[in-house]
Amino acid sequence: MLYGFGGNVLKVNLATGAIDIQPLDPTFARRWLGGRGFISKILYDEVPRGTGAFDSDNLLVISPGVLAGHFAPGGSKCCFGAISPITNGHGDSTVGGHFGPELKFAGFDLVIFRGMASRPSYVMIDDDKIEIRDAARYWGKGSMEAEKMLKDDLGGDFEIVTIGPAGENLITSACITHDYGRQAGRCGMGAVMGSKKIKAIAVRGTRSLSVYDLKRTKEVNLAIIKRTSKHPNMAPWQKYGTAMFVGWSNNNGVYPTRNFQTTYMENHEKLDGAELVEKLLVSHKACFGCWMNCGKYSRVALPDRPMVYVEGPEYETNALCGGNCGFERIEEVAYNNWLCDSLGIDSMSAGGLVAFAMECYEKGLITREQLDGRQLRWGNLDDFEHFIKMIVDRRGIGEWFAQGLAPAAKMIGGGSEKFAVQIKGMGMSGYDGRYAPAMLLGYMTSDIGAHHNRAWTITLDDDIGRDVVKGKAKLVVYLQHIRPFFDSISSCRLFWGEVDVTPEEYITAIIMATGWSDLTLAEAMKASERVWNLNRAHFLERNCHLDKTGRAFDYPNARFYEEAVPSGPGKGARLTLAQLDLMLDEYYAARGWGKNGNPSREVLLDLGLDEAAANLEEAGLLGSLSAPLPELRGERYKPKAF
Amino acid sequence: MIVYFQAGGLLRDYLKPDVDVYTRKIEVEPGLTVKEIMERINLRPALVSMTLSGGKIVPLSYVPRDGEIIVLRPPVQGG
Amino acid sequence: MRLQVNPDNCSGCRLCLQICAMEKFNEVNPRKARLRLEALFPEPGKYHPRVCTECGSCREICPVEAIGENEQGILEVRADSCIECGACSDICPEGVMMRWENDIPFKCDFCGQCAEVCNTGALTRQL
Repeated sequence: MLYGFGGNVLKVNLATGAIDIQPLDPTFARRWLGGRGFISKILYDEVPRGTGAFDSDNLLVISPGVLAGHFAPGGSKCCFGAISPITNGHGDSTVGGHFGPELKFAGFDLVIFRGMASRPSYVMIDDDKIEIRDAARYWGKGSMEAEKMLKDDLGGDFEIVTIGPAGENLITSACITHDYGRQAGRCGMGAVMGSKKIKAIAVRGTRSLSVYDLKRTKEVNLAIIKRTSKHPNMAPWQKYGTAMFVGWSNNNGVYPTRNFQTTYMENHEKLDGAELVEKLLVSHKACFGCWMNCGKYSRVALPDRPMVYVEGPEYETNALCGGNCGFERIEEVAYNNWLCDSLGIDSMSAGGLVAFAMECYEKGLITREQLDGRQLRWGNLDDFEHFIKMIVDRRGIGEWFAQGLAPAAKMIGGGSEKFAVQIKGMGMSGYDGRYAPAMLLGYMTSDIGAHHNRAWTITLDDDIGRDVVKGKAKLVVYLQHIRPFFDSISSCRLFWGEVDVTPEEYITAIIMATGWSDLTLAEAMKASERVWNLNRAHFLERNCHLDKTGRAFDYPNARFYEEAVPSGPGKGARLTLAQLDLMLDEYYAARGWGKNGNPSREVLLDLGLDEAAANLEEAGLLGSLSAPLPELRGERYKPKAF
Repeated sequence: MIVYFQAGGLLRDYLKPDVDVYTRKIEVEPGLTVKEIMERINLRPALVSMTLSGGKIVPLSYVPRDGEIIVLRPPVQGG
Repeated sequence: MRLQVNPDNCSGCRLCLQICAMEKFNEVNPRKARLRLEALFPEPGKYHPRVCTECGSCREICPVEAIGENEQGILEVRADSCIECGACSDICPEGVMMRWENDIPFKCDFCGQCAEVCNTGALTRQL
């Protein structure tokens, strides 16, 4: 018996309506752990190489991992994956809330959608009763509005994910929304769902999860709850959530301001978490089984605007739809947040797109005529709203932005690609890397582009030295193993990051759930490294047709190596191209990859990725090692003693 | 007078808690700011994202009273 | 003992549901809990845990007097007299006289585990 899992794989062919349920293979489960791990393997194996993100052969794969639904720290997550319309490589994005656990209670660890429906549809999963239903009545509605309608129609005990108009219109930055304000935001998963004409997925699961050792699970997690409740980070975290880092981010010179022109926002005090709690907070909102409740549910009433409810703004939205677009008041950011959520566009990517357009407007590269006679001024709510709707409706130059930052820069020209802030097409998260080199390296080498969830490194930049470039790569490699590991097991990493739940305790939780008594952290880290290398191979196989090096895809825009930070605590910080090259050299060496940034046969075989090694060899894409393969890739950071 | 600093995570390695696993007892003369006390124990303010007293955010220029507990927050590890 | 509910503090995490089903059924399945959670979204954006208040409606409506006080003075359903008509479940104003697949109803016995696990103060014990 396979303890801990739902036990089944659901395959839905949207073109034919065929529905197939198979048991989950235990060997597969142990090797890939679930979530992001399952998704990486399936996308690599099953999506033909020439397939574009919106082709019917692309898959939309959904997987809650092993801990989802369990009485364990943060067992709430669900991973969505597909070939990304933004990067044309493996894409995945994780959402909290209750959807992943509900899928597990319905008995599913994997849901794979193939093909495209012929008309707008939604999929209902009611335990093992699966139906593809007509969604004409919900199509065109906002994400949260559609969720509410479906709850009213099906019953409040369904957990639902939806897309908004952005997903329907194949905006590459479209997200998938759940629980009135949580998103699988990045990689354009909402657009892939839209291309398959799936407006929503509704799940109700009534079964009990099998647990290997329930008695111990209860004891251990109760002890963790008790212990972490006394942790000094807990109370402020519960009160303010991630929004409290706006001040820190500014004072440390990493806060993206006016399209990453600088890294410090004057007047940032009005954007801080304390303002959010004081002015907007309605409720604290938690994911399934989580006692940290970082979600802040807000109500915003601005003059000349409807009163709206929104979950957030959390830090990333605050940074990218706030300071990065020149907004100085939390109410305005919250409104932008609601607008993005409702339209179903990722508020991080949207902030990056609008900020880029604002800088283009400032520099005269976008004109009033292109904006229906309007303007695009920093911090102007009307301008933001008008332009974001141009993007979502694909109107005028909105069409360029609908395709993403890099295509938009290409169309605008005039040197704008230097400041269309993206890597591999993915807009950068809310931390500027010029004064945090390891952070920049994390973005450069991330499998999905400039997103922070793979390696968030600023604490070690702070500690080792903000201007130090050398010696950080192997630490970034370690973070790229441990952090995405949480996306495989469907657990929130914030218990680890915030209140000192150790990685070993998560391993214990998995053992208690599954009975895999010999599972070790080392095995889990190796599984995570396997996923990392598989995704790299996948990216190369899809994208390296002309240039055979992965390295060519690992550079940021020129802004990050040509321009110095002009103001704030990071003033004067600047990285050179030579420094970036040095970091990449160290990084590839630490990973056991060739200098060209391509995985070597040695590392792929060591991880059991024989098929990927053969595929890369056939395509002429293997890297060659200049030194023996390091036995352990990556190094856990130990703070310096003083 | 006595001030208590509390921290978790990475910060503990710098704070060197002695009362319990989170808390360090620090003896200082009255009138010092939180920032000055941090510097006194070689804790770089850059490593601290915010300081709190009684659940409320206080600035680095805050002057603690005798016996007060100040919570030091490390920056988020990223969502 | 009773349970005190402070809905404003509730974050909707469902730990109370999780622990209740584990405690009473030895199962991981929040639907088998003896309390429930109302989520009022998108407006007004609040949660409301619903728990037994010992109001006695269930005892009054029971046609066969299968509901009575146990040794601790807490109302319970006596399985040997229950005819599974479901009247108690239908009348419960909080919706917490639970039934699983139309079987014998079950209710909260105030073991207090939910309050124990609640981290926000939404559920507390009231002695």
